[in-house]
Amino acid sequence: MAFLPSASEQSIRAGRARWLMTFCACFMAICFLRLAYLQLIKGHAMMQASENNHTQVLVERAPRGRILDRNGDVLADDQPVFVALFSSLGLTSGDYQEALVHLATILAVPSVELEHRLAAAVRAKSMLRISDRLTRPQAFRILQDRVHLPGVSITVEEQRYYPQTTLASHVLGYVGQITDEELDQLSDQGYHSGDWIGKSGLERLYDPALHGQDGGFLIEVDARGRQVRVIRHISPQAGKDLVLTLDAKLEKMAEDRLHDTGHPGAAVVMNPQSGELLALASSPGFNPNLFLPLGDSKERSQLLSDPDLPLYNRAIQALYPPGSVFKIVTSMAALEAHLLDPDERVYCNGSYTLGKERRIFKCWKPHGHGSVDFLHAISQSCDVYYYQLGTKVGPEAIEKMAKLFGLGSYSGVDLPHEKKWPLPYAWRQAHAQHWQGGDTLNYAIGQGALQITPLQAVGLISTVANGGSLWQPFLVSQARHFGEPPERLGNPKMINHIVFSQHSLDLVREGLTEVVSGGTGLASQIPGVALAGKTGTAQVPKGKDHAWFVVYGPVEAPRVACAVVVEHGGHGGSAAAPIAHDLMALALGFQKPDQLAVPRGVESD
Amino acid sequence: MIRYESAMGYWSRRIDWPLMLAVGALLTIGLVSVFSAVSPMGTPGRYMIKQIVAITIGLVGLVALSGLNYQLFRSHPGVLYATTLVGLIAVLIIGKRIHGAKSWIALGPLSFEPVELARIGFILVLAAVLDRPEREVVSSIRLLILVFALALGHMGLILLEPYLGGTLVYPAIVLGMLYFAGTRPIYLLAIIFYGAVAVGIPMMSTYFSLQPQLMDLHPFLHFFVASASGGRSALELLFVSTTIIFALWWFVYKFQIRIPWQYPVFLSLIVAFGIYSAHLAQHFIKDYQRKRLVVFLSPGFDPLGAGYQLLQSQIAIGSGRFFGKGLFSGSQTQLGFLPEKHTDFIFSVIGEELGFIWASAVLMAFGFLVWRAFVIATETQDRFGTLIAVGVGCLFAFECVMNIGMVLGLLPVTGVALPFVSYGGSHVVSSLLAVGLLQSVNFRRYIY
Repeated sequence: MAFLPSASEQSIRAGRARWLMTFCACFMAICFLRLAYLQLIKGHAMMQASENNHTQVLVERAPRGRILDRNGDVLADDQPVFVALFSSLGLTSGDYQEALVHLATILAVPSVELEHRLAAAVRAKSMLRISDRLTRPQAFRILQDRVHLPGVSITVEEQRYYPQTTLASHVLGYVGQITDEELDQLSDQGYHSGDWIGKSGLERLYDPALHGQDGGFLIEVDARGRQVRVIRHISPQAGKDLVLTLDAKLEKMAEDRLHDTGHPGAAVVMNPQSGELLALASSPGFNPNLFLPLGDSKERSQLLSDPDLPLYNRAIQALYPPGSVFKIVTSMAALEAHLLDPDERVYCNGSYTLGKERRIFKCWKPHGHGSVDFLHAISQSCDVYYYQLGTKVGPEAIEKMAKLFGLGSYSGVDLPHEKKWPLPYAWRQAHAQHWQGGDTLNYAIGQGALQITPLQAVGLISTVANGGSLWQPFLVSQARHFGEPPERLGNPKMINHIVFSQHSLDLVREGLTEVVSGGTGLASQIPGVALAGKTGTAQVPKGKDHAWFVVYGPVEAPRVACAVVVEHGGHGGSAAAPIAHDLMALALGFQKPDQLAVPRGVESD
Repeated sequence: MIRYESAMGYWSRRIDWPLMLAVGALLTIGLVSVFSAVSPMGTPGRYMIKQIVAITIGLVGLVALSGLNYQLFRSHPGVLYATTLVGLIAVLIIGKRIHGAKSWIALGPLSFEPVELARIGFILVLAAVLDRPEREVVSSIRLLILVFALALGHMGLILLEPYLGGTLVYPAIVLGMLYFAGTRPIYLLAIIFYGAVAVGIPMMSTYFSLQPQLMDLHPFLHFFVASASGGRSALELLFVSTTIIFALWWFVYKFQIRIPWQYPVFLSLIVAFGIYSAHLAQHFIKDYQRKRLVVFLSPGFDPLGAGYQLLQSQIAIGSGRFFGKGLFSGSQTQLGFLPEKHTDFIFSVIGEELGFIWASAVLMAFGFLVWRAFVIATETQDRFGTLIAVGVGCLFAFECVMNIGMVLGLLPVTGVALPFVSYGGSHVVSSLLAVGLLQSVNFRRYIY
């Protein structure tokens, strides 16, 4: 019955079997490759996908590190707040409909908005932070009505709080909720959606240190979203405390004195031997607590629309013409170029005539200073003397000296958003703009062409004080973490050292001492301590002039340098010098500076 | 001197041990992974007992079948076919409806799926039908029609249950056995082409209709989608494709390549029938079913619906990586992210918990199994036995590729189980019976 195959039939059959086998093997090989691709190449990504599938993280925020002044005074702290959480686990939409309206009335938010957020959480079977900052009564009402509010729970978390309200607000900055853009950039550094992040000031710059490591519960959930078990609990790691170089008392005095003038302004106090900033004040200030969720939103919007721009840190961001303060630079440039004979006298009749066009440049003193030598010229701030000196020295040399003093470049302070103004002569050269003789005259007395920040001004006077070293100013000295040795963050860093001849230094210092002891800066005199300073009055197109005063002391061994600017305050000697006086006295160890006998301020440049 | 040996010794000498070893390995891995898969369920013990009982029945059947002379099935193919039809019709009448399909007949405490046994019967019937001199097979259209009528009889009844996945193996078995029996390959290619047109058009149109933005970019697709549901655009599609076929034929003719005119005519006829069948398929297969069939192309379309299983299955397999997460520790398996984990998606469990080593070992064991089947087919002198071996080889190869391909996201979700490994009594028994047939053929390879 069977058809016995012949030999050729046998080989045909073997060939067909081979074809069929090859055909099957091809498909199996494709499966094999796909298996290898999924498990070996995509394995890591798939592993993460499966992790995300079955785990849920309930974030527990790390307490933010505190910010302390040099004496341990707390400037930024944490306080416990109530957080309302909503967990959809085991709830259906019917369960929470009633609760929703109730919750909305407690929280005083539209129930539509709340429903929208809760519905999303129920769909995604996830935990939701309903509110980050409940008031105490709200929290207690929720706890009382717990039975009628399924899925809602209250936890306590540490959140930012500024106990001294406006004190050092520009230095500290403020915190706010992380934005989507920030999250895009920072999500790999451990930031989560809904985090609080520093938005300005030190809070922003040192956020990685202050932020700490969030902890939380890693919860295993099954495919229906039911919690199966807690895989692990990671305790949040508190952020590091920052210790500043600032002295809170000095800072407070600076802010108060500026505030008392009724004008916007700024004051910076620095150790000229290291760059440590002892005070960095900008007025008007703001209350960073307003940016926290419990802050009054009306006050917040007022703050944002205030024409005096309280959020603006004038000490590092405002650019003012230096006025006569710049004469220090012009003097040094002339002395170092050996173009200045201190005994040579110049006659000041109140004005200076330039070139063929016979343009008139006036001295601030209408009838002139008469015959002045260098010391007289600098202590009385005679413009005519500096007009002729500027013409002799020329803009290149002045600008070279300005550059050595750090003008025209960032000071490098550890704060975000510092501003600078380009050096004008080089800038005009680079932009093919004409530089006229009159520009040199204005440059020499610090009007017009160049603008500087108060921080740059304090750098300038510090460099004179310490004999040529330009230190990088800094605010943060250490980061501390409980149970760990403090970590040094800010160290004195010399940016530049200028080799001045002792002769030039002595002369300029003598002149600056003369300013305080018998010149325009009389108002800063402290009995028993020799100070050296320079007043400045920056002309502005509209309104009263800006008042400048830069000072250091004691002259023999400088420990403190200070720069004060009062916008539209008028004369440096009368508006800025008294503030500098108080700051210097406090910084030098006089406990009650305002009770020291002070000569009345002089209405002069 | 004549040495007598025991029946057991005789059996064990004639059996194909490597094949048995591969089957044993697959059964073991299957049992272990099914145990892991059902452990989070309420009564894992019951599942295990059922599966072990089924394996025992299957192994007894295997031994019995291997001892039985398979020529028994040669004598009355008509009776055999009628028996399978009775089984398939009986399930439609007295069957239990589970998950919307009437596939189960309950016999006391046991219940079984006639479909599973029917396909073994079908292999025997087909082998008997094709067991004639090769010259009678080569270009016999009548034989082709008979074979397809037999297959369609089964497939139609299975579709009535409805159990789409159960019908898919028939074309694979038919084509494999016809090829081996000697049918001209061009006929088989024509059949495959017809099938591709008939199934391809509704599938493609469903796929495109899931992407409205793509359709707006290419207005041609609108036309294509419309043509799947028949009407004027179907006729236009037919006209266009016929024109292209003849234009190509004429073009090739110009280059001195003479193809007889019958070919393009025949091709056009296939396209016409294909388009007509596509129209039928479009109506016959429900919308959600079609969606389920194409969603594997991009599971992202429906990540919470039809694409869910596919995504979860791929995540499960991928996350197992080289060594796996360990038995009972696969999060996808144990936490219920993987649907049908102990039946159709058992391979994902192996991938997740046992890793690439064991998953690829399973794949290789199937490769070995199929290879043994074809080796037996070549070594057997008897044509009937050869065809049985080929049928069984095609059955295992198809089920293995279809199931693993589905689990890996390469093929649509059709509900084809993995032989020996998936949980399911009838399937294990029928697979073991198929191995029994293979052994029976191997046993007598030098006798006939």
